[in-house]
Amino acid sequence: MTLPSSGALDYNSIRAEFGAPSSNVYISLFNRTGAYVYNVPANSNIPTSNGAQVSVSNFYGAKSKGDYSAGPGGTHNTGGKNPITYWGTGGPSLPGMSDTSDSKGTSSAVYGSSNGSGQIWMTYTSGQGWSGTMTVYRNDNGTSPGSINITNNAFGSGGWSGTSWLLNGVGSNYSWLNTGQLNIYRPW
Amino acid sequence: MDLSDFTKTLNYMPDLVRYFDEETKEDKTAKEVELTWKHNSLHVSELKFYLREGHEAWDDKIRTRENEILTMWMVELGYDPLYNIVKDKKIIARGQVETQEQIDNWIKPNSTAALKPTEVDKI
Repeated sequence: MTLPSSGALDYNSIRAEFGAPSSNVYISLFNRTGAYVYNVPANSNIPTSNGAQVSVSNFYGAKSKGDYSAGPGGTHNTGGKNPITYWGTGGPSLPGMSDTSDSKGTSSAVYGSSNGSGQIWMTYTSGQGWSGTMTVYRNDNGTSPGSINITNNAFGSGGWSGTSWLLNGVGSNYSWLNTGQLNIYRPW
Repeated sequence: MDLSDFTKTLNYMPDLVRYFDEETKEDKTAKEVELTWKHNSLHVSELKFYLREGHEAWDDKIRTRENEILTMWMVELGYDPLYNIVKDKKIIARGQVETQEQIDNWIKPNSTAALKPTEVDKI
């Protein structure tokens, strides 16, 4: 789901990679942070606004949304005498994920919590192995507030069951998951 | 209203497009596909989507575009998206009660027969 990083690149290749609703390819449709292009390091050469100068070469090595799952990061405090705070997307009273599929399967929840009941829940349909580093990017500025190392013993209980991975015990050290839209990448 | 009576056609575009295959780490070419959604009975726009053949996110992107198109048709038919959504290719009112289970689980006030009045403590 990546465009070539050298050689001739035409508008149709850009259109066919990101997907487009019209045969008329206008390059501003593919502005970074727009409807078709996430703000991630692979797309850092693509301008974010219509007024900026843009050329086809800005799209060398760019990645379409298919590699990433995404969702609005939020925070929720349960209140009461023993309040629990949740941070992230897809968790209890948190905003749901807006894009649950990536190139390896689906993710339906990525959140931490102040009492360690946070979870990461995902499936995979291709690729090798079950451990790796999940990197999270902020869509507003393209930076990564953090990454999550996933192994069978990373946190509390959890692990693979068939093609589903449930990671329990994601704690308060993941409070940075509350920020804006999160674009989530897992390479394995 | 049911929107499911539409035809989706695939048409190969004449030129090949380029992409990078991350598994083999090679630049490759593929056919570009033009997909067209046309409703068979309603007077709504014919809408399209372009994607390369064999794209890893083919199903997901087309599903997303189809949902977008159904919502656009809903608006064209005069339904306000503030109060209506498309679910399972049908236009339904937002928050519409659909099943008996939803009614059974509805939170209702306790009747006086179910709970006795309780004295309020002084603060």
